[in-house]
Amino acid sequence: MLKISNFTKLYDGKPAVERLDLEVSAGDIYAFIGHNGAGKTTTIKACCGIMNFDEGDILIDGISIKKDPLECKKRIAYIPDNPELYDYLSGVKYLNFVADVFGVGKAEREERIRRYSDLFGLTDDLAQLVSAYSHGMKQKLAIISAFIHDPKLIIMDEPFVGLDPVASHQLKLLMREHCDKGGAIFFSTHVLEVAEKLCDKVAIIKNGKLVTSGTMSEVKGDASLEAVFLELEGENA
Amino acid sequence: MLKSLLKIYFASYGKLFRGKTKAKSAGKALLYALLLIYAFGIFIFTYYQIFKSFAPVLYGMGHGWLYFVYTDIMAFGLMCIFSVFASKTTLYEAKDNDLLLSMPIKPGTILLSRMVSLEIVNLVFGLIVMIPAAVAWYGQMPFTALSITGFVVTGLLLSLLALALSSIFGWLLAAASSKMRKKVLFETVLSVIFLVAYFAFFAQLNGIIQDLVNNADAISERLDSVFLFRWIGDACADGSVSSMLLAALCELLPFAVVYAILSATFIKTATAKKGAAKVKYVDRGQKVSSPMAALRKKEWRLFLSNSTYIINCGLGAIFILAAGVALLIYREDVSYFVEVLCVMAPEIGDYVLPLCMLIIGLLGSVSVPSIAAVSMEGRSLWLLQTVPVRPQSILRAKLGVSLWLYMPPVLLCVAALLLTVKAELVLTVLSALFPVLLVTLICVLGLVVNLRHPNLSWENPAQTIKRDPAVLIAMLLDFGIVAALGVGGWLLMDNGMSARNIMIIFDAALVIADLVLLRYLNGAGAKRFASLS
Repeated sequence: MLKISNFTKLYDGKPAVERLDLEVSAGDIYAFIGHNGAGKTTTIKACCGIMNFDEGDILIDGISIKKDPLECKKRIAYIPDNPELYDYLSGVKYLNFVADVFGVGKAEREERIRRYSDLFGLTDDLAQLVSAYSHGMKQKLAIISAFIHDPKLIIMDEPFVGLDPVASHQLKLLMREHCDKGGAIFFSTHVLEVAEKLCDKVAIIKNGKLVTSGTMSEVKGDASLEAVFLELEGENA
Repeated sequence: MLKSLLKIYFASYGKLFRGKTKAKSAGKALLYALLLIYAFGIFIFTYYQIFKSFAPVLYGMGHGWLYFVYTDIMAFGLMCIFSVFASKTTLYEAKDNDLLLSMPIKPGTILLSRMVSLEIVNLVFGLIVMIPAAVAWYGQMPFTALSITGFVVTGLLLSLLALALSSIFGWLLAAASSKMRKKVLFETVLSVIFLVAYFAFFAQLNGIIQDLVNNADAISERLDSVFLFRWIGDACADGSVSSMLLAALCELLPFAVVYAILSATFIKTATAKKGAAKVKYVDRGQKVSSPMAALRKKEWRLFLSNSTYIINCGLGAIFILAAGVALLIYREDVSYFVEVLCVMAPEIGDYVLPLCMLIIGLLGSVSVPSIAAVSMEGRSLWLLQTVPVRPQSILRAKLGVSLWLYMPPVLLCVAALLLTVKAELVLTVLSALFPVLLVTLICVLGLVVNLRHPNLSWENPAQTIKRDPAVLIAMLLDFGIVAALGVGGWLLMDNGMSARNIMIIFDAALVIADLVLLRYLNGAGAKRFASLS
C-alpha cells in the first residue's frame, strides 16, 4: 500500500531524512516513532505529496507520488499534527467540502457523516463554525473528514494529541476496523503504549535514518517498546 | 517586556523580506520601502497642491492658526478611518493572544504592544497629511524653531488621540460583534459607510477647503472657543509654548484614560467566546457538488468570511458599479457633455470612448481578491495540497472569485458607457473588450504576485490583506499598467494614430499579457502552489 524506497530529503544541503526504506502493506497499522526532529513529519508530508524530496521514490498503491500525485492523493487521507481547518466553514460544510473534492456520493456521505460524527460526539456541533471549535473538536473533525472518503491509506501525524479518552478509544477501534477491511494506516506517535498495543508493525527513526523496522514482535522481542526505543535512542547519543 | 513583544511583532514583518542572502533581503526591504514611498508620495503630492494654495490666503487673513486646525482635522480623520477597523482585529483577534496571556506578562503590556503597531499605521497616514501641510506652510510663511516644535509635538500626539478613538471603537465593535450571527455583514456595512464618507469628503475636498477659506472669519470665531483647536493652531503658527503644552496634555489625556480602561478589560474582551449562540445541528441531508464547484464555493466563503477582505479587495467592484449606475442615471448629461466636447475639439472625438474605458480599468486596479487569495489560506494550505485536485483547478477557483466579482460591474459599466458615448462599430467592439481584458489582467496578475510573495504564517488576516508586500506590489503594478496605457495612448494619439489602431494594439497587448500570465499559472505557478509551505 505504501512503499518508501531510498527516500532522502535535504534542507539546505543537509539531509533531514536519509535513504529511508519502509513498506506498509494492506491491513497494517504501522507506527512511526522517533524523537522530536527525527524526520517523521518530513517523511509523512512527502508521502502525502505536500513536500518535494531529493532522492528515492514513494509509491502509494503502486503509484509514484512524484509521477502521479493526483492518483496517489485519491487513495490517501492525511491528518496533520495540528489540524488547521477552514475556520470560516461550519463543521458540516467542511465535511461536505472534503466529500465533494474526493467525489463521495450523496448516500455514502450522509451515512458516513452521521456515523462518524455520532461516534465522536460531534453531531450537535456540526452547524457551528470551525472557528468556534476547541482543539479536540477540530481533531475529531479532521479524523471524520479522513474517514469520509474511505481511503485505502490513512496517514496521521500524532493523531491522539488533543483527543479525550473516549475519542481516543473510538479512533483506535476505527483504525483496526479500517485495516481489517483491507486498508492501511501509517502514523507517527510519541505514545509508545498505544503503538505497542495497537500496531502490527513499527519503524523507529533517529536523526533522519531508519534504525529499525518490522513487526512489533520482531522489533521489541520480549522487552517493551519503550525500553527498545530508549535503548536505541541511547545508542550513539 | 514591551520591547520583546515589539520584536516579535516586527519579526513577523522581517521574515517577509528574508531572502536567501543578506543582499537579497536588503534588496527586498529596499524595494518595499520604495514602493511605499511611491504609493504615499502620490497622496502627499495631492495634499501639498491643495495646502499650498490656501496657506497664504489664511496667513494673509491673519488666521494662520486655522490652517493648522484644518490640516490636523484632515490628518485626524484619515488616521481614524484607516485604523478604526484594524484596531478590533489587531487588539483583540491576534492568534497569539491566548499564548501571551498565559505568560507572566501584564495584559496592559500586551495591549500596548498591539497599540504601538496601530500607532505606526496612524503615524503613516497622519504624515501623509502633515508632511505636505508643514512643507506648504513653513516653505512659504515665516516660522520659528518653536512653531516647528509645536507642529511636531502636537502632530505626533494627535496620532495618540486618534489611536484612543479608534481603540475605543475597536473595543465597542469587538464587544458588539462577538455575539452576532451576521458579524461580517455588520462590519462590512459599517466599513462601507466610513469609506463612502471618506471618499465623499475627499471628492469634495477642494470645494470644502474653498468654503472654509471663504468663511474663515466666521469659522475662526466659532472655533476660537474650542480651546484644543486654538491651542494647536497657536502652537503651530506662532510657536506658543503654553498652547503647545496645553494641546499636548489634551491629546495625551484621552489616550491615557482609554489605555487604562482597555487594559483593565483586555483579558475579558480578548478571551470572550467568539460567535453567536450555539445552534444545534439538524440533519437535513447533504448536497453533492463537483470538486470544481466545491472549490468555488469554498473560495467565495473565504472571501465573504472577512469584512477586511471584502472591503479592501472588493472596493474596486463597488467603485465600478457606482460609476456604471451613475452613468445610467446621468446618461443624458454625460452624453451632452461629450457632444459639446466633440464639437469644441473634434480631433479627440474618437478617443473619448477608449479613455472612458481606461477609467474603468483604473477603478478596477484599486485591489482585487486574488492579491491575497493564496496568503489567506495561511496554515490551512495543507488541505488544498492534499486533496486530489490539480493545483491548476485550485488556482482557477481562486481567480474565479476576482473575475466573478469584477466582471459583472465592468460589463454593466461598459454597457452604460456604450449607451452614453457613441462610436463606430469596430471601435465600439474594441473599446468594450479593453476593460474586460485589462481587469482580467489585474486579477491574474494579483494571483501571480501573491503566488510569488505569499505570507502563510500570519497571526491576523488583516495583516496579510492590508500590509503584505504582495498586496502593495500588485497594486503598484496595476497602477503602473494603467498609467502606461494612459501615457502610451496619449503619445500614440499625439503622433496621429487613430483610436481604432490604438485599441487594436492595446487589446492585442492585453490578450498576450493575459495569456502569458495564465500560462504561468497553469505551469510553473501551479507547481509553485503545490510546493508552497
